[in-house]
Amino acid sequence: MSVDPHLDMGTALVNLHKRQKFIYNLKVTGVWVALITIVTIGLWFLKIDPSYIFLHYDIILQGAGTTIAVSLASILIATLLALAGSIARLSSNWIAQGISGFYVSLIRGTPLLIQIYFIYLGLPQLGQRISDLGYPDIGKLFILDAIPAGILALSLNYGAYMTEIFRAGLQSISHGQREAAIALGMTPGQVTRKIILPQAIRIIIPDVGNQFIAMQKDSALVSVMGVWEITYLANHYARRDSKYMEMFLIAATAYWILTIISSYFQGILEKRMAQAYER
Amino acid sequence: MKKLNTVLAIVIISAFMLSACGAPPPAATQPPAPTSAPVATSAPAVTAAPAATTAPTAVPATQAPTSAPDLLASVLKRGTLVVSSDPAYPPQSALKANPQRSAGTKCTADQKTTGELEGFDIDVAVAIAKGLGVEVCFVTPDWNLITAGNWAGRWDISVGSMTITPERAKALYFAQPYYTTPAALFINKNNTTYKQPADLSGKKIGSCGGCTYESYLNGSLVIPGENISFVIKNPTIKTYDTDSTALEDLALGDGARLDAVLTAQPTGQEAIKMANLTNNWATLCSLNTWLQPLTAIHRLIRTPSSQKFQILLQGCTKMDPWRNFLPNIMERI
Repeated sequence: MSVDPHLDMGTALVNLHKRQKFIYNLKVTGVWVALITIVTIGLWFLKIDPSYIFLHYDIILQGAGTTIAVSLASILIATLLALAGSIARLSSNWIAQGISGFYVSLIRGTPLLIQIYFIYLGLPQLGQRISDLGYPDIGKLFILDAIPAGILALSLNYGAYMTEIFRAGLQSISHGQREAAIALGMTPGQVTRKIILPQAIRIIIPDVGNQFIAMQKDSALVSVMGVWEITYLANHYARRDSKYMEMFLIAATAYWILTIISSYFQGILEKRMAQAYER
Repeated sequence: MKKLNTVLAIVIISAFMLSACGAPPPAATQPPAPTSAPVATSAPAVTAAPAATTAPTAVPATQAPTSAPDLLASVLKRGTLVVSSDPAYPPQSALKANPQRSAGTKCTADQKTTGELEGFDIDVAVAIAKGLGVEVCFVTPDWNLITAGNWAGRWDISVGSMTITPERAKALYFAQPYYTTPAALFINKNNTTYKQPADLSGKKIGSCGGCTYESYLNGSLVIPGENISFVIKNPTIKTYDTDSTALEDLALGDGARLDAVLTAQPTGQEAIKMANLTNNWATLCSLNTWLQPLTAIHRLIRTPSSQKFQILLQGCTKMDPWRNFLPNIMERI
């Protein structure tokens, strides 16, 4: 028995809380196990050839590298686009406001697949015109190969959605802070860089992670241009051997694992960003 | 096979080359005027081709795009022939079971090598490149991107068992047909009532979307010089991304989703063969070939006889089996 009865009570409460949390986590894990079992049983009733999966899963995994590379490159460019776009959207400059508003409206208003077709098929026609006008070097820049065209399409598309996410993040910082900073003599640029952005990032990061997870799967659309990523390989081997369920099962699992890994890193990043606010 | 389907396999030369054809060939051996004229007259409405606006005028000297008009020279210089093909149609083209990038290849990183693909179309492409003394490299864009015609120099030619149609000839430059494949109707094994194509009138028939089979089913198929009789009246057409998906649906059961599938005979037979090889695909085993192909379609895949069609093809090549016409194509380029 310690001298301080309050400390004992506190320790007991903390232990109780820990135990409850442990039991709670155990229950959640139980639900996961049950659901995985149900899904497995469901798959059992499908006509699936496990030996085929075992022999061919590595082929699909060869496409994982491409999927990851395309997604990473695209999310980086999209983030830059979104940052510029959101600042433009919140600025009082009418040109910036007009450009960013049009960009977001046009891109969000049209399907990604059609954007891919325009970039892959349409841009070269522009390039041809420019070449005909006597600027072949500039014209050549418009003829993009499949992977750069895919990255451009994904970046533009996600950049538009993320512009809105960034805008919301920037707007969530109370107006008083901006006014206070200006009253202290900071320039508008300094205010954005040193006061608003560091706080907004904390709100933006989880959504960017979310977008990245979505993008890994949307990157499957670049397969129409013949990029051998996960979906392309799954689709073509499925047709080759008439093994649709097997191939799509491998592909789905590969995507799932990729997103689990991404979620993990997203969690770490979020924790890191929230450090300043922990008590 | 896909959207092509009924069947002639063909080498397509890109619209890009069409433009090249219109330009004065640097090779002194090539008389430009007489051979390029038919192309210009037969393809006046080329919309998808970047060169379209310049080609029909037949005034070669005015268009001087700096984009290397002599494709053959650049192919030889590069040492590789870049061929596009959509490897989704075994036995014509498919990915290899164990793709291995060919050693010491000159293909760029985003191009595929012969070690990664297989099939009839692939072999044809290899033969073409061999004839030229260069290595063949593949790109694998979606079918739509090949038929769209605006290749922008991304690849030199396409080899893909594509049926020649007037519509496609507006955007693409076709070579002489070098083989034919019968179209066939496939029905479920459990069905006992369908005896001839006309029995399928008003039934649910699957095919690839935007391909010649669909055109046949909706009565719009035109092959110059051929008189096609549309014996299946008012079918309910269900189109698919690719023929093999339609066959999968047919295998689900007689009339479950489809009553029949119209596709290339080898495509259907390959699906049945695959099904027999693997036990757990019992349902697909129930597919039965209907080996009486539609006579009209069967006929139209023979070498086109009409004058019009001949002219259309003349633009690029002489009329011989592909082994012989290859040099001609390249000469034209």
